[in-house]
Amino acid sequence: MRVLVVEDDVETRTYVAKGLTDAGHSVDACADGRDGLQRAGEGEYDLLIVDRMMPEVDGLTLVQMIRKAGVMTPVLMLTAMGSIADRVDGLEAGADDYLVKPFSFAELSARINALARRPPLRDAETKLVIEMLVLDRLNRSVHRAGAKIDLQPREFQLLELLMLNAERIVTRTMMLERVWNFRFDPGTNIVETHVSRIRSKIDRGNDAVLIHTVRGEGYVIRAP
Amino acid sequence: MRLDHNRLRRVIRSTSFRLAALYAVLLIAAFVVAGVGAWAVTRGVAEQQVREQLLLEMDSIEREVSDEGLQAAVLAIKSRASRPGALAYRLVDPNGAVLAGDLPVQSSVLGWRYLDMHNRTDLRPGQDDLVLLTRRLSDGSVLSIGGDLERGESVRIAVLRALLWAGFLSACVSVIIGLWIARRTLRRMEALSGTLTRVAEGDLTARTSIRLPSRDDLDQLSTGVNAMLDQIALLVANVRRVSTDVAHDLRTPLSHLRQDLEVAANAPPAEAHQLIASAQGRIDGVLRTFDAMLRLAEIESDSGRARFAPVDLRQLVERVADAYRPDVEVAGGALTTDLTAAVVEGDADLLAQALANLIENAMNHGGAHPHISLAVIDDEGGITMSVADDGPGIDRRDHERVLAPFARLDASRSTPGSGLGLAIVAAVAKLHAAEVVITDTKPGLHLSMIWPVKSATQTA
Repeated sequence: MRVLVVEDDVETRTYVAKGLTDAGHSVDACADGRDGLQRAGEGEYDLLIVDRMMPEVDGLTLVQMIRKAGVMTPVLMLTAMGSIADRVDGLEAGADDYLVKPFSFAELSARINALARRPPLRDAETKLVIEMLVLDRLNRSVHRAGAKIDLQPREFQLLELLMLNAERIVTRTMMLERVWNFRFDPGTNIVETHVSRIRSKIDRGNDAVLIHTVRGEGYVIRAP
Repeated sequence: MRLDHNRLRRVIRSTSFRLAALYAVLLIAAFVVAGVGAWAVTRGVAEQQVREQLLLEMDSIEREVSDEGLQAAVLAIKSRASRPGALAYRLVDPNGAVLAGDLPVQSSVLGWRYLDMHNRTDLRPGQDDLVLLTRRLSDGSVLSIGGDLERGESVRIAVLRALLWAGFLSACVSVIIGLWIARRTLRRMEALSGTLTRVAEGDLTARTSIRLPSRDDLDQLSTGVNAMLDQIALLVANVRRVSTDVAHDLRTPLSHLRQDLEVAANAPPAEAHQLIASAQGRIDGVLRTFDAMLRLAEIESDSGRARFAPVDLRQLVERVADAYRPDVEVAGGALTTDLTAAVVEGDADLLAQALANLIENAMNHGGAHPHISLAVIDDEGGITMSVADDGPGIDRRDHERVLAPFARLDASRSTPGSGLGLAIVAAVAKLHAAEVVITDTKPGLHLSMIWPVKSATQTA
């Protein structure tokens, strides 16, 4: 993926750029909003990572301007401001996701992967299939090897999220945001508990384990 | 001596003394105006009386002349003039010879005339200003009769003097009263400003004394100042306590972190990895505390109301309950709900967080296998969202305290949580104009957020 990082803080910029380069992405970085605006407008990028507070042109303005100019490249906004109102501002300006500093690289990486262009029609598919596991989005049923699996509504949503992002890590925060619509970090293990329930329903009695825990990062569903 | 001098100066410069002095000046001015007015009015009245007297006298002498002849009139004038306090006369025959009377002037003008006698020889003591009536009699002689205006004057002067004295005395009295009041007020004002100076110098325990039961404006001011100082002291104490608490809360994980890294520095790679992972966990804990503090500050800043929208409480509680139910069940407890439809104006994210904090509180402190019940009630008392557990509850005395930031009922801070959960609940409730009510259900604790009827939007 070609990624443009627009971030004025040298340490964060270097950290993000190095991490992404190590992960095999091609990374361009710039230090202020004006420069970033220019490059985002002319370059062919698959993803923009934009800091919210920057000299010259701030992140919100940058996103608004490129969206106005018709650039639809996915944008992940980084910010030191974690308030709910700030998040809403960022998303309204046209950012696709919003990450509050300090963040772990795993979190950033998972979100980037989720933002990267999905195979066409993936979102519109009515049946998600991995191995012998079939999730039918129309009649909201799940089968594994033909056997029906009963899931609670939240468990279904969680599995759906994992399967939409098959082979990619889904972090705990992403699950909290997308499944429960929680904009805060609960101090308890609700994600872990839910995942372990789904896992017990899906993987129990099967040699092929589909849902994997990525220690310190999140969960991933993939064919063995 | 010098102190007294200073004190006098302060008294004189005080508002109440200035008001009293102004009052005295106005009083004197009023008396002067009254005196001048009285003077003018009485002068007119006195002159009128003299004129009437002169006319009567003139008529009677004229009648005497025409009835009994000039000689009789001369005699009559002479006898009248010799009476003490009499009018002044001058009768001149047609040839210009003075027949009777001692008026020292010759008046050839007929009718009324004023005579200034000051520069003439005084014929009679007190005969200063004369009003003069001159008439030609039937036989051609000319009679002038003068009336002394000054005679009435002395009475008027006496009245005026009395008036001015009264004015002067009242002014003196009012200045003295002013000084007295000013001194009294000044003493109290000084006590008040002394208190404020002490506060400004850093003594937050300083309070000003209030006289009871007297409730004048100064007492009210003092009461207000004391209340303000109480509030400031409370806030400062809170800030101090919170900073101490933050320091304590962060010190422990940070020192553990330091130990982890210290050991990791000399440990074999496999063990070092584990220690680094543990260090990351500790840092996450510290960051969570900071996040909670920032969130609390955000909610308390009040700007959150901009995002208010109707929130379906039943849906919200169901959503949060679903999230926590498996966790509670894993712990061997149960989470039950009893929900009525209710809609409030609010911020769904913050309300969800508040409810989540309440549930986590019940999970952490509600015993080993907590039975948690959530309820939404909409009745005449308003809309209530409540969380109840069957744990040990909280001592009555601590009900107020648990809502404060970093309130931990165990001083060792060994139970999980940032100590900000219930503070966030309280802040969210305040933002939503809802009340947090804590009741001990023995066993168990019942925490609820109550929207009074008027601020709640109800739907079917």
